Amino acid sequence: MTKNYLLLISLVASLFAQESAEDDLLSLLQDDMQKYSKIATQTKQNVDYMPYVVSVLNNEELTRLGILSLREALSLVPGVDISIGMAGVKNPIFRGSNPFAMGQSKLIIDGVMVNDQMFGAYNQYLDMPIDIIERIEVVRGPGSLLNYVNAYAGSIHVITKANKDDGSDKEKSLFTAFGSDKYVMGGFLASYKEGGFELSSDLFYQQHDKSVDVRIDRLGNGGEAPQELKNYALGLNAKYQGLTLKSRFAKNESGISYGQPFSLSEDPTDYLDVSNNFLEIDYTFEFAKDIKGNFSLGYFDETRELKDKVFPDGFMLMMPPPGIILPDGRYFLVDYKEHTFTERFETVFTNFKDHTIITGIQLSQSRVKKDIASLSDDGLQSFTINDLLSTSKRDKVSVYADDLIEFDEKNALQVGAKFDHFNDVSNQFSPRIAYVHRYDDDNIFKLMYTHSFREPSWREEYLVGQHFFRSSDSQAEAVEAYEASYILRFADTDSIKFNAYYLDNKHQIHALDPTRTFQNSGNGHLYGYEVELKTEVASSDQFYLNYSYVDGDNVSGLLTNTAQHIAKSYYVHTFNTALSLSTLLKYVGEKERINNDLREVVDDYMTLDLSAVYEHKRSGLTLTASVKNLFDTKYYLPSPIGTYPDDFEQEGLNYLLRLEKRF
Amino acid sequence: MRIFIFLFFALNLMALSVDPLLLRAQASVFPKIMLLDKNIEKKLTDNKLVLSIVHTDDEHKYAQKLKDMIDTEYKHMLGKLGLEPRLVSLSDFNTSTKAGAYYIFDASSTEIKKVISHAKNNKRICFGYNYQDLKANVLISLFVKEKMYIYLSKSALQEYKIKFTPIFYKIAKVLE
Repeated sequence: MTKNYLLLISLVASLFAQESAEDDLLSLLQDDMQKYSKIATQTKQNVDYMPYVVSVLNNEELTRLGILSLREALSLVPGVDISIGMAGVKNPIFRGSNPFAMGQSKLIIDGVMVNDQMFGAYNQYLDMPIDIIERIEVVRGPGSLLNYVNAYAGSIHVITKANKDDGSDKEKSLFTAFGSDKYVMGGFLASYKEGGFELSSDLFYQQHDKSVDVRIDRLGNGGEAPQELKNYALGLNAKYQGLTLKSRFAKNESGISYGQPFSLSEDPTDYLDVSNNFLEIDYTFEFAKDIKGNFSLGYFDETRELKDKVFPDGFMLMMPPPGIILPDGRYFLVDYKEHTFTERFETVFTNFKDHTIITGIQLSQSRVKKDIASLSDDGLQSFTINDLLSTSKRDKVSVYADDLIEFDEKNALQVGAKFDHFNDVSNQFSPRIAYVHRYDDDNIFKLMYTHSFREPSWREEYLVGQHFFRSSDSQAEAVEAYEASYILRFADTDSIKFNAYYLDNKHQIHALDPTRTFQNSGNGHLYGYEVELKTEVASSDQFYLNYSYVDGDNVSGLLTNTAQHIAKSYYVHTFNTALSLSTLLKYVGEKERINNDLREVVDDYMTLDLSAVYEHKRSGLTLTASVKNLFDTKYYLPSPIGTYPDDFEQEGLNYLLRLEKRF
Repeated sequence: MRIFIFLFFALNLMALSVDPLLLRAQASVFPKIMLLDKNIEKKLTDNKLVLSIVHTDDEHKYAQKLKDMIDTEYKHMLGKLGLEPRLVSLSDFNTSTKAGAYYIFDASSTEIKKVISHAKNNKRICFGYNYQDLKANVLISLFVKEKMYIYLSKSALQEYKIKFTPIFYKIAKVLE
């Protein structure tokens, strides 16, 4: 900047006298264009013209729609639905790809992947309020925007406001929200900058007291599924020249909901608590002009503590030995901790004309630190203690290379490959090739092929039988994805996007067999398309619609637990620079069951949300009032066979009030 | 339900969505482009480069933002020349409004055409926020594709009769 400024002074001083100054001005302009092109690429502003399919959700857009959390934001993305697993855990499902597995999608927060090894899960982060989120980049399909992450069905990259990457000043704000079921949330964003040093932070706390009435569970009992939540997190980041530190410390305390073995607990004090912490230190430096290196060290840990009364008082065991009565029922307790260290070295070459080449190597070492599963048949007086998992380590080495070749203004090709070696899973090779043809500014065509995989989670590979079992020889799931995309832009902010795909899935892992054993259960083929329309109907009215269709088979030759038709739409009317009103409509089609589940299909449903946002510029205050599921639609997410016959009822009419003060 | 319908179709006030990154890029790039006008020395006001940002009431906050960005980046100086971004309300604009160049957000209204026409008649650059406005005779804009481009309207250039130094054509993309 200083160099450029001096250059500018010298050139203007001589502008009217020397022609050579023109070259300096050209150089300054080229620097500007490069700088802003780089930011546009980093912030995915130029995404329509790049060789991948990604949905970008910005904070401003999410605020106007009254979206509360990351989970709600994801429900806007074409082809994304939600499934419910053990203990009521909600998991995003992309394009119907194996709705019985976690870990098919990856969650990355500020460049750090946060899926755990135990389940491949990241659901404990999904309640993160959008108040701390700058942008969410969602890739549908196995292509990932980060070379060191192998996504399978999709990847979600959250960029927090504390890690804003567009070069502008970071926000400072206080925020709070109140809603139905005694929902309360509060937090702040803070930042400090002095010379080359920058410190930024976010903190939030939220809780609610939700519970759901259940008519009958798998043991024939009715009652309440307690879903109360206490969730808090602190993000802390620092930057000094090439050195960056990113960290997040989070805890999620929740009710046991539908129970670990899909039965209601008699004990209202049962819980599932999950703590996650990560810390990453990066050092970026320039080897030579246009060759950058980045060295990164990361640490991630997760602690899971569970107490669940899995059998009620007086329950008679049918498992061997049969006929035993448990007068005090049975408690199942888990005390589990894992951690992962990562070391990564990445190089970015932009010194070859028209090429951006990224190469890297990442090592990771995951270990179980606590591995205790306890049973108590006497009301927590004494315990039978076992290991939860049969092994406690996974080492991984990944090597990757990627080249984005900009042949000319119209054509670009991306070629990449990643090789992964595990100590406990067979070697994996994942190539990717993508081509984009920009016919003109408004017509863009894309073709993509990607191979990817998902290694079995520790639960799937190493679980020592506790209601579920594992097969010791599970292979990684694999997918070949073929995608074609067309984008028509018909005004600055208006576009239609069409994306068709074919997914060839192999070795899908689930535990839907009668023995509840996680194992590779065959192949599947999914194909479909997604259409998105975004347009300004009038100068103050914005309309958005997406529709996704999927067909094929994901489990046992059927398309199960998957809506073939999903549509999401919103309409925002801006009255003036202060006030806007939005409606958000979601339709999710009916869902088929697995072939031995004789229940009726899961009904389709439609929900409507209404939000008003008032922004008082002078004071920096933004007030959002939302009514969600306005017509109190009763709708359900599918339960696994032999568990809850009535499925999982979802939230009816509810309210939300949010207030934000920016400084 | 009627209330909702009423609210949706109630009397509109103009709302403009502005991309902050594009605005920042324009704040950085456009003043430099002014220097590439071969006759810029004849277009100075009190030895200052004046960029008039002409805006409607609803565009005022973005116009102010653009001015602030230019002031922050250049600190009122472009080398040894003064640089002054001036906010001009569209309703106050008249042909005596002097400037070295003009900037507009949206060329779709009839009233803004007088700004474009004034710029053209006085051989001043008219920058546009939106590249689509090059069709409405705006001379220069920025556009983000796989990278950022400076778009220059060829037909407008012939009408504006502004001579740029040859290096400008090395970096700008001339649109037919």
